[in-house]
Amino acid sequence: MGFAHNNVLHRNHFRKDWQSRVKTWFNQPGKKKSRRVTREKKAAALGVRPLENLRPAVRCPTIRYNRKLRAGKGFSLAELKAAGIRRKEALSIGIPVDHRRRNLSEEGLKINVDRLTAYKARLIVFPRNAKKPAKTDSKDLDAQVTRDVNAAIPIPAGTVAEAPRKITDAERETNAYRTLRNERATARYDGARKVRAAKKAEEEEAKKK
Amino acid sequence: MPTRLHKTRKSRGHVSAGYGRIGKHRKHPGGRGLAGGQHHHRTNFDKYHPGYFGKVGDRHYHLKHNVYWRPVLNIDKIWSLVSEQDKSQTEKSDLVPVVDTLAHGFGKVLGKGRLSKPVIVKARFVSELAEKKIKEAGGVVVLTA
Repeated sequence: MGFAHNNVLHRNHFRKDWQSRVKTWFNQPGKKKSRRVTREKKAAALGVRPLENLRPAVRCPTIRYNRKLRAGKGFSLAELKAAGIRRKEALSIGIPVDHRRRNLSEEGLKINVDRLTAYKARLIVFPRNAKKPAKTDSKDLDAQVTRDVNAAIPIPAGTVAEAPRKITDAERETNAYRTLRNERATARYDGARKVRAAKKAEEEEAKKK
Repeated sequence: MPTRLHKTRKSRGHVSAGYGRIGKHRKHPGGRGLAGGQHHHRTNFDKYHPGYFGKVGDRHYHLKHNVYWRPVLNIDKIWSLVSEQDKSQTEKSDLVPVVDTLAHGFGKVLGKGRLSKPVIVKARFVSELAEKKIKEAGGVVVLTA
C-alpha cells in the first residue's frame, strides 16, 4: 500500500554512506602557503634566470575551446628552425622543445616564431668564463632585465578584436547561410562524387581500349 | 499534547483499536517502497505515471558534448555586444561596428527579435532568417572558423 492516488513517486535514498563521500579541504590555507614558499625558494635558487620557461602559444583542443590560446609544453622543431635556433641551443637557453608538436597552419607557426624572436632579442647569456667570453654571449650584461617571462612576452588572445570599419562590396554580395549549406553539401557528397568520378574515369579507360 | 487527550485513550479496551478485524494493522501489506509497479500496483502506475517503465531513444556511445557545442545568440542581443566606445564611434559616421560572436562564446546566430542598426556580425554559423534580418538592417555576416 506504499502509495495511492495521483501523487509523485518518491525517490528517497537517505542515510546512504554519505560520510564516506564527503570531501574536505581544510589544508587549503596551508597548501597556499607551502606553494608560495616553494615558489620563492625556486626563484631564489634560479639566481638571475627567468622564473619560468618561455612556452609556445597553442590552440586549445576541440571545437569548443579552439577560439582560445594557451601555453603549450614546448616549441616544435619547425618553429625553432624558422626562428634560427638549434635544438640543443634552445634547451640551453630556457626554451623547451616538444618534438611531437606539428604546425598545421602558417598563423600558428608565426605566433610562436615571433615569441621566440622576441625572447631571443631580450635574452642575456652570461659567459661561462668572464675573461674569455664566447661569441654567442651577450655583450651588454647590465641591460635592464625582467625575470617574468609571461609578463614580458604574454600569450596573445585567441581572437583579434576588430575596430569599426566600412562594409566591403564583397561582404555585401556573399550569402553566409548559402555558403554554409553549400559547404556542408560538398562535404557530405564528397565521397559519393569521388566514387562517381573514379567510375567515370574507369569507363573512359575501358572505352579507349 | 498530554497522553490523556490522545485518541488512543478512547480505543483502549476495544480489540482492534479501530484498525479492523479482517484487514488488520500490519507493517507493509503492499510491499515496501515502489514495489509492485508492474504487478499488484499496476493500475496506479499505468493510470498516474505513464512512461515510468521502459526507455526511449537510441544509445549514443561515447557521447562527447564538446563536439556539439553551439550556444546560440539571437539578433536582438547582438547590439548589446557592441562596446560603448564602438557605439559612440559609429553613431555619426559610415563606419560599422564589428561583433565577433565567437569571441563572446557563441556558436550560432539565430533570427529572433529585431535589429535596427547595421552591424558586421562575425559568426561560425548563421541561420537564414538571421542573415536576412541583419542584411535588412544594413549589416553583413562574415563567417569565421
